[in-house]
Amino acid sequence: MNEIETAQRAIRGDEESFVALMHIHKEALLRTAYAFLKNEHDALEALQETTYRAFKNIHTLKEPAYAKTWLIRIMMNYCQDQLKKDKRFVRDGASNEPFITDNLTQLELQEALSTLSPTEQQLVYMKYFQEVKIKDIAALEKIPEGTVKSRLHKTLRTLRSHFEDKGGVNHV
Amino acid sequence: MYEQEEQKLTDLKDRLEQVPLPMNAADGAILQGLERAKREKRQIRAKRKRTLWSLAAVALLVLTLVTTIRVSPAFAHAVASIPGMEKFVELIQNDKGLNAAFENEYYQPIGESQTIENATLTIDGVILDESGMNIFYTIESAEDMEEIVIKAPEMKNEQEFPPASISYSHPTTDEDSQRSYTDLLRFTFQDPVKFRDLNFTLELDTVLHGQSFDFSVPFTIPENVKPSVVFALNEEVEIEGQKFTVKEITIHPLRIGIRISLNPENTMKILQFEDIRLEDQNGEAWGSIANGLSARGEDENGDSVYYLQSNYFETPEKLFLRINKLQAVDQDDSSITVDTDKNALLHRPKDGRWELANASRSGLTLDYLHPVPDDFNYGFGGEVTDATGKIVDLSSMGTGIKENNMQYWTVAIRDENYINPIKIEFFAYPNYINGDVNIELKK
Repeated sequence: MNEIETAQRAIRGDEESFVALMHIHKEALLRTAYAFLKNEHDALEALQETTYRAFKNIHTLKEPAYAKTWLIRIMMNYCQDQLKKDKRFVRDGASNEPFITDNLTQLELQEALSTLSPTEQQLVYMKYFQEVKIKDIAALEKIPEGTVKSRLHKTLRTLRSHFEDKGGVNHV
Repeated sequence: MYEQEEQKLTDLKDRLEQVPLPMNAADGAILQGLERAKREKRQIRAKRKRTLWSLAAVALLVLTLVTTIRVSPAFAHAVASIPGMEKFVELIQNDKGLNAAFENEYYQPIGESQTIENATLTIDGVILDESGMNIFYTIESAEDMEEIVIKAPEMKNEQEFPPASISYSHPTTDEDSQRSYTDLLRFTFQDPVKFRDLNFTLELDTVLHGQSFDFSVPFTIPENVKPSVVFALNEEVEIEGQKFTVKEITIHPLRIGIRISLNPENTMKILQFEDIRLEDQNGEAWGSIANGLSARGEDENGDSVYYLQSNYFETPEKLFLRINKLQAVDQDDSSITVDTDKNALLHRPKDGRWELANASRSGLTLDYLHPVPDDFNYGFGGEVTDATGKIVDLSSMGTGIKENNMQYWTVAIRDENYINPIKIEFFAYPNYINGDVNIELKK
């Protein structure tokens, strides 16, 4: 059974297919959680919560082909809510949790990403980390492709200005 | 244009992908999330069932008004011998089964109470059997209670308390303010239960004179239930060509349960058994529960259960199940279909008595263009499903009377996340078929 068929059955309420669907995408989901929450424990909790929300709302998923991005969006929404709620996560990027890189440029970038709005963060994540096509993002968000492109440009511009303000760390 | 930024993002992605993930623990997390969601769905389903039953209970509650008040000397004597019982007489006098339970000392006094500030909840006593539990309670307050609000009661036991329909009165507010309020909580279990452990806790959230009091009263029932008596019949009978099987009759102290399944090939849908009753050799009858839950809708096997007042404590020589009058409509006329987006009535009974007054995603109103018989004490409404067969979550459903004495029927939808058209099933309909079912119950 391929991914789309599995998603179709899950939407119709088949529990086994739903579990299968979660297993197909668990790595991507966990990676998403890790990217936002930056530690194992919270990432696993996020996966549990995403499973819970997805099972309750699977009937609202219209297009089986978008199951993965639909799940990732649930995950990102949850993570961003957690970050907002939880004071343990410091939003300027200087998280007190051990982080995934010691590369200065990447630390810089993560700091820059954390200054973006939640919608912009999701967009960047979908496009560059999950490599979702602009066409699919547009379909999922129900907005024209042109709008996705211009939002993406605006977001990259924000990132660039962030680096420029910092004064050329990227040239080191 | 932004190649540099894009390159950085791609680098970060690559780095992120090298992070080892706890894939084994992930399976556990998925399982836990799923279990949580399933548990919640089950609870919602149980709650929904409760609402449907309570619709039936409300429909039959109206019947109480026409029942005459009759207190037998034996009953009066039985009640007088239990201190503090006088206040409950009114609440139980029109149920022969409850009367008999008192006469035969099946009522168990409890007397446990909890005081929170100036208010006290007392559990006066309990009648427990395999079909349910009736709790007699009193709320007293040092201050006048102008408005008394009783919220959904909950019961706790060592084993999971079974799904139950709960009926209780909503205190009237037009009376003078009072310092004492007595009522009965009637739990009717979905399936017969025998508790291993007779320690219970009643949790009752109330609002008295504008202040919340969340009572929690533990109590122990002294004696376990008397066994119920089961008659397995499995007899198919027929009224005007419509067949149904009387599967089983169970006589409990609190009520009689009659399990019936309808023949799926019937050309008509049977909605209500109007005069279902047990009769003894002298024609003495035990009829529907007059105050409380009177019937339970179809379960997963297609069985419905009708509840009668109990004759558990009687010893008639012979006992018969009698049915003469049913509410039934042609299968095709058993529902109304409406597209709430298009404000259109797509299907209605061919008697032409229905018109759509208005509809939107949040609800609709239908006009019934025909006089309703005086003895039709039911609400029309049953289950509402959407185009995919999913049950639509309603906030309310009810009938009213317009200036011209015609009835209208309103359905208010809570969860607007449904797909048109929606189908509204009839729960009751003033269209009758007549016959004579007479089955003897043999031990």
